Amino acid sequence: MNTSAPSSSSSSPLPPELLAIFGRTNGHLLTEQTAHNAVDGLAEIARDIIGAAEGAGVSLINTDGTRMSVGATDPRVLEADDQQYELGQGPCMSAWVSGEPVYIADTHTDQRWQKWTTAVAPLGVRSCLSVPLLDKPTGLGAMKVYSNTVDAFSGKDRRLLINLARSAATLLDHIQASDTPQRISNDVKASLAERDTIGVARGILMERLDVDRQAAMNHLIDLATDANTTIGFMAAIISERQDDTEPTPDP
Amino acid sequence: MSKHTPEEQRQRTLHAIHSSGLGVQSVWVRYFSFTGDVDEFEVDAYLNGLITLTPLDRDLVSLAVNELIAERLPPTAPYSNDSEDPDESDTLVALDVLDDRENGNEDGGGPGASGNT
Repeated sequence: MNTSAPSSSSSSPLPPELLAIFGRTNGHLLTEQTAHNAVDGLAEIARDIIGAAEGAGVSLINTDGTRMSVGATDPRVLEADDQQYELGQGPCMSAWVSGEPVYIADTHTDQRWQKWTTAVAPLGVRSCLSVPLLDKPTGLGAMKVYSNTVDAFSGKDRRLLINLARSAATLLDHIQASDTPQRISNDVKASLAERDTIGVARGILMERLDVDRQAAMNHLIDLATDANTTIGFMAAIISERQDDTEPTPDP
Repeated sequence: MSKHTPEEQRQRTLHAIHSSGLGVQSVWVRYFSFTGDVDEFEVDAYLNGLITLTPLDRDLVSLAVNELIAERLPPTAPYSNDSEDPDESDTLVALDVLDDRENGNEDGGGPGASGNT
C-alpha cells in the first residue's frame, strides 16, 4: 500500500500577505489610530455638510458608557464633549442612550441638562444638534454639531446628520470588536485546512485515476455533487480512507 | 441537459450572489478554500464580466456560492427511515458514490439519485 499520500503543490508557510488579504476582505484590520483618523474626518465632514455648524464632533462610546474615542473640529468642541463625560450628562449621552436625535435650540434656556449647558455656554455653544451612531440595536456613539447662534439647525440639517451618522456607524462598527485578530486567525486556519484536505484528496484522485489536477478536481466536484454533500466533506472521506488497509465501508 | 455558455454561467452566478445577499469576499474565501488560485479582484472582475476564468475556476466559484447558499438555508424535515445521525448518513452516501465510481459505474444519474430509497 502506498502510504505517502501525494501532497498538494503549495504547502509553503502562511505568508503575511495572506493574513492581510483575509483582514481586508473582512474589513477588520483597522487600528486604533485608524479609528481616530476616521472620527476626526467624520467630524470635519459633519461640519462641512451642515451649513450652520461652526464645530462638529464624533464620539465613540463603550457599552458601559465610557468614551472610547473622540474626534473634533476644534478645541472648543472637544472641551464641550469632555464636559459631558465629566458631568455624566449632555445631549450626546442622551442621543446614545435613547437612540434618538437630541436638539438644544438655546443652551441659555434649555432645562434638560442644566449642568452641561451652564458649563458650555461660556465656550460659545448656543445651540447643539446630536444624533446617535446606530448600527444594530446598540449605539456606537454620537455625532453632533454646534453653533454659537440660537436655534441654528433646521429639520433638513437633522435629516442630513442622521443620514451621515447611519453610514458612519456601518463603517465604524468594523473597528470595534476586540476579538477580531483571533477571529481572522481562526478563519485563515480553517480555510487553509480545508484547502489542504482538498489538495490531498485531489492528489489521491490524480494518482488513482491517472489524471491531471484539473480533471481530478472536476472529478472531486462531481463526487460531492452526486453524494449531495460538500466538497470539503467528500475530500475528507477520500483522504481519510486512503490510510485504511480495508477499503470496504462498514455499513 | 445543454451546457451553459461561460456568459450564462457568469450571469447566473452573479444573480445567485445578489439574490442570496452574499458578498464577493466571502465567496472568494470559500473559493480559496477549494484550492482556487486567482485573487479576489479577479473573481470580482469575472463576476462583473471584465475577465474570463478557466472552466474549473468558474465551477469552483459556483461551488463556493452554492455551498454558502446551502449553509444559509433553513433546516429540512427528516423522514421516518432517515438515519438519526446526519453525519453518518452523509458519510454512507459519500462512500456509496465513491464505490460506484470505482467500480466503473460512471452513470451516476445526477444529484439526488444516490438517496436511501
